[in-house]
Amino acid sequence: MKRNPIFLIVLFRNNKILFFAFVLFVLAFIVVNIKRGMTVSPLFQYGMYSGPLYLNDSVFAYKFVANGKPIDLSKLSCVERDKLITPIDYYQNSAVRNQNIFETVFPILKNISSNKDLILKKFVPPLSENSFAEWYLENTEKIVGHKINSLLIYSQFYGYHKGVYTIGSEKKLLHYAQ
Amino acid sequence: MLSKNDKQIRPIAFIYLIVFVVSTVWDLGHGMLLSQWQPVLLHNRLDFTLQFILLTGAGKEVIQSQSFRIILDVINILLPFALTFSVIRRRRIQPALAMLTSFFALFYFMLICATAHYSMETYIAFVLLPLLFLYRKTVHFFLVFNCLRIIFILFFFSSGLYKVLFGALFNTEQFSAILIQQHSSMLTGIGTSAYKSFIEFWVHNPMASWFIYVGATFIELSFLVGLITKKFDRFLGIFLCCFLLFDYVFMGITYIPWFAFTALFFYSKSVNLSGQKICY
Repeated sequence: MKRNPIFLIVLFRNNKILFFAFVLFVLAFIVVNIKRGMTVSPLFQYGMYSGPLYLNDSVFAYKFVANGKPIDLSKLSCVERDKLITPIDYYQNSAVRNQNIFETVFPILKNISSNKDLILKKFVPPLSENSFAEWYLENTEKIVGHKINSLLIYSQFYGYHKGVYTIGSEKKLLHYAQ
Repeated sequence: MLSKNDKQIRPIAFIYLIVFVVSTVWDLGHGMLLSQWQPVLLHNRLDFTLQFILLTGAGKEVIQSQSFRIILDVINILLPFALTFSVIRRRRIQPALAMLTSFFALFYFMLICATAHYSMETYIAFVLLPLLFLYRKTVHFFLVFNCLRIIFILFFFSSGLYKVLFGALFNTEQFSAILIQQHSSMLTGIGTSAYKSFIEFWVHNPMASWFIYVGATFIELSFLVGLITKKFDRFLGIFLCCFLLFDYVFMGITYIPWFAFTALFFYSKSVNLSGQKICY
């Protein structure tokens, strides 16, 4: 009985460059997933939310208070909520995170350019608190649809038990007023 | 006369373009094009490719220059149109455009993901799918099509495998706990809405939501069958659509670009090597 040819053999016979590119891509994907550290886009680890999580895990949340009233996040779309939350997340962590990543990758990058200060400016662009505040207030006004004179942002930790969220701690992160 | 594969190239190119347009209109409607978003801060991630992009100074430029952002937006929108046009009209520039569109998508979406809430995994479809049109010869289109189909299967299957290996699949609280973490600020905050009540229902019913998680993992793992046979590809295409819709409904994650990957399954049987049967 005649056997059907295997795809990899067909690929090798017809296009050797594509064959090696494909094999390399697949091997690199496997390595990136086994090593589990730095990714090399477009090779990722698709393991988000694959570690066990439990209902009694501590819950981290943000609270936004505009003009003295808490913003009702349930009335916003998922994208709008993300647009509100993620910049604050980034603003809180980016400076340290960017610096740490820079220190990690600089030993590799210095082979391309040894000017550390020049590269640093590209990796950690300067950001003043005022420029972020101005931008973030404008962003929030677009989302909530009204003028904001003061904005308070809190980070909170909650515990969850049988449908009830109990606040464990609350910290005022930012206060913008104009 | 056009071969069967030639006839399939056009609808696949159209699917890619339609999904791209829908995704771009969605981003435009949410003010998420670079020139609309006008980011002020950069959030690096441990990704080797992103480091090279930042090394060019593009990240700094995106934050400081509106004209640079407009140029990037315009190129990003034009390239898929130009590529699809070149595929339909069988232009000689097609391979170069395919490569350029793929590289530019990687460059553009990595930059926007470093400044906004998007994750690059979402946009991987716009990086990989232009490569379908890397060759003008029918036989090579067939080869790239199947390479990308296998690559996507590996991506998707690995996601399910992680859930099994790390034990999340066997944890009956898993999906309720995920929903709490994913929607924490909404769930702990004031106000009620239909969506909030919907999420609360699944949070308060861990067993019911665990079945959703198991179903999603089953969908991811089921793609392994695609490495052995193409018989079930239509089902896999439908599974993928369901998975993406559920991801949006439950998690609030928009995976619009991934709908373009469904072409790799809905058209897999009709894209073949002169009717020859091949083992996968």
